[in-house]
Amino acid sequence: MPVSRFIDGNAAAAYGVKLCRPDVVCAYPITPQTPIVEYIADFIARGEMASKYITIEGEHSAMMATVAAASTGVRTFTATSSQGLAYMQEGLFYAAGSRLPIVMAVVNRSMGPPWTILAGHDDAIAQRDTGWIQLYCGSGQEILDTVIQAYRVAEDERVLIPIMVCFEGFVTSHCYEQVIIPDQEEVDSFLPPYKPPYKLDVEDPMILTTFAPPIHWMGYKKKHDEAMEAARKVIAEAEAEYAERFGRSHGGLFQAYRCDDAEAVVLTMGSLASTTKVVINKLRELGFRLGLLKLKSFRPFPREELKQLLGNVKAVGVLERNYSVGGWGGAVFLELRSAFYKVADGPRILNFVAGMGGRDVTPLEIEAVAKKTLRAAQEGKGEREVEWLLGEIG
Amino acid sequence: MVEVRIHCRGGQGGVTAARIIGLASVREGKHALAFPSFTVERRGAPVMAFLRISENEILDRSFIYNPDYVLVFDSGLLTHPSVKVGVRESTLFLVNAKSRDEAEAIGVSRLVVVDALSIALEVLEVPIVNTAMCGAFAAASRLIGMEALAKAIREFLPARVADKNVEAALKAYWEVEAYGKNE
Repeated sequence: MPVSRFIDGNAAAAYGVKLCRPDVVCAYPITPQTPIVEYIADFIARGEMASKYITIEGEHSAMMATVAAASTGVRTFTATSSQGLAYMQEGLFYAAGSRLPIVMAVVNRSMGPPWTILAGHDDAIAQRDTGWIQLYCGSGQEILDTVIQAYRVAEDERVLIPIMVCFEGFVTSHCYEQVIIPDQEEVDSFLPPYKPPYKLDVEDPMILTTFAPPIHWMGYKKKHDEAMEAARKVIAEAEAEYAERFGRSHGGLFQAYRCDDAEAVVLTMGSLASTTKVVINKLRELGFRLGLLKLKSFRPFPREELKQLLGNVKAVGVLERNYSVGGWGGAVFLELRSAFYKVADGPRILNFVAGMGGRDVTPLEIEAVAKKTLRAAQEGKGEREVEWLLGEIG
Repeated sequence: MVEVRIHCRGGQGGVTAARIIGLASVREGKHALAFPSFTVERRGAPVMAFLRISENEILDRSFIYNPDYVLVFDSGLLTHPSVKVGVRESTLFLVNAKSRDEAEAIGVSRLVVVDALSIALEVLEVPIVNTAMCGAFAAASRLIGMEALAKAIREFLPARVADKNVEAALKAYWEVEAYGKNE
């Protein structure tokens, strides 16, 4: 029988990992991710989990050891945050370029300086071009369910791409709530043991990730991109099958809420989508035709799906916890705007930059975001294309 | 939905208190969200912990700006600007203080005072007031029962200190229940 536990987001990630039976776990602690590796270490110490746990001296080594383990064809897990993620960046390219289906929890914390240990999506967004799939979660249950789905997607032969399961530091990682832990047998049947198409094996020697001459190098990159394209379908499939088996759905690539007849839509990721739902419900009751689009998959970016879904909407307000300095916008805003390039009568797209460095985003602020977006829909223009939610104190 | 905001200092167990009350509420069939707001990670620093309790699924994951209950674990924090943010006439303050006079300076309409520090020092022999404050909250709010609270304390705390902490909670519960809510 599935059991309901009152646990935080980090524990939800750890329980999800445990149910996936990874062969190797190698991680270095960093706030606010540390409890994940502590929970896993406890599971292993108590004999509840059979994984080999490698203690290591830093994040770069953690990623490279995980890459090495995954190269032998076994299931692996690691976790990190912020500066730790940045420190392992070379390894991120190594994992993705080697097409290893590693799953990593990224507990999002803004990049210092100015120094902080608190939430922001800017750490993972900065790793956008490393070639990883990035899925953003907003609750303990979504984290657990997404970890299980992530292995299915990453290990699919059409994909073979590592996945970051991202969720906000403290706000989600340290939030206690009820989380349903599914049965091991049910997870086993959804996620069979990993059968690697290629692996390092002393009985059948081969070289992985060797030098690629100029005539081949770009071809590999192109294939990686094609696999990312295929991942859009595989993510949606895995989610649909998971929903059927376990009765829970968080959206595969994204989740649309009350968008059908919406004039304007607020698009956001992670826990902000949860709070935004409350705001949309309130404003709907007052007669404002607003919807919510919770974007889960930032990589692959569901360009075509979003174009279809938001094609009839007059304005989209992108509310996001990251910003590209010198790019004049958050990453999601810039990509969405680019997706609609040359689309006649596409929506007006506004950007609201918020919630970095642990700054809370209040329901009142989100209400203003929603109303400004709706106003832009009705008037055909917005006050400002990019607005920073800074409250009273800058 | 009921919203509870805890003001404490790092090391007093305010974050754990939010989790314990949350778990007790869940055991009584409700939904709960409990999460902290840290600024810096060190003992003595002002920390806030947030708790939402509801009959239905809780979607609002923002901080708590209009609390129904404010728990102040350290009377030295009564003058901290965050304590009175967004409070209403109906907001109930539960303050750990030596005397009612000490707490009354805050000037709120609904105030319950409990000397949780004395209870903690007497029962636990350490100045960690969280479980006493949980017991006082159970009596002051009637949102959770002592039985569910005792179970939640045993689930969250190591076995070697669980009994003593349940005792501290029960003592604080009766201090508030038996001596009137002093509102």
